[in-house]
Amino acid sequence: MSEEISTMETETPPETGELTTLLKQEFPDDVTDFHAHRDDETVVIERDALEAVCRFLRDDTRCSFEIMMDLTAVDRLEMNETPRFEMVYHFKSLTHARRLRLKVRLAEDDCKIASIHHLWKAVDWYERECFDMFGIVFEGHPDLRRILMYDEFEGHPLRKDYPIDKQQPLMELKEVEERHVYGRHA
Amino acid sequence: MTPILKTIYDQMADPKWVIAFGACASSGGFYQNYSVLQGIDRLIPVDLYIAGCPPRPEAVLDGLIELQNSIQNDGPTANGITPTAIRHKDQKADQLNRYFEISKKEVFENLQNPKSNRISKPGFTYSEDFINVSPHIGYDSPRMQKDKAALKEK
Repeated sequence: MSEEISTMETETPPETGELTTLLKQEFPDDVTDFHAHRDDETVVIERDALEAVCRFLRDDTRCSFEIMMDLTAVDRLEMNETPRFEMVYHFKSLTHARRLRLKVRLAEDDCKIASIHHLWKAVDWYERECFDMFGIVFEGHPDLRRILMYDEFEGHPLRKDYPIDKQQPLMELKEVEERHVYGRHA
Repeated sequence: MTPILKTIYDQMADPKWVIAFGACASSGGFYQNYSVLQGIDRLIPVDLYIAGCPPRPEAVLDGLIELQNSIQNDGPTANGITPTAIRHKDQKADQLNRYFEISKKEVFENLQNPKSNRISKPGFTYSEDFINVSPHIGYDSPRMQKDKAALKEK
């Protein structure tokens, strides 16, 4: 009887996949966190190890991640998590038919990270978008400038502390009488 | 984009009219954030708004005809009602009457024919003369009970 009740409370061991064990072997000090579910694997690594880990993922024949699928950032300000930004990289391997998610956590006052454009050319515009939207500086990027917003725009709009409605029009706009004011900011 | 659109508007030859096509052009539409201008009329004068996301073909045609009329008559037609809208109004009245007839049929089915096995029998229907519909169905507060009792005595 007590076993039936406590099955909800016993911890199931975290699933680990091959890639996680491989990365833990090669980079033992740099893998801080991981989780996996079915065939999805996520690995959190240290910022300084990013370049080495990515080069390993691309070049080593056991992983061979030819495709850099996505790069984005998460602002965890409203979740009250201390390293404020979390970079999320998605890789895909065609030879092994596998995907991997790589996460790197960055503090707010030091949001710089190495650029990996020399490994995958596709990362170029993703890094520009992260810079534009979050203000994360990619060291070594050949042409780091805004990509979605115009250059005169001040601030980084997808940060949680940027007021969502705040527009910065480049021209004087006419005042339109609003019958019902929606939104939180003027 | 505002400087670009203003440049295009200024470059257009006179006479020119502006149609705000769709919800986003009319008012910002679905989006209200740092990157969407809340209606192009904040920038350039708009002569016609066509609402919708996307606008129905009928709305587009109606709007274009309305624009033509307003250009002809130096302003929109009286009360914004075009001959099309008037014909449409009669059609709409017929449609609504047919819709109300449905609920009358349902009432008939539910009250008069409990053995009906129609597929859709709505749980709540309006009676024809609204006598039985009362906002206080269910619980009567003590005060309301007193009032009803007083009414009954009278």
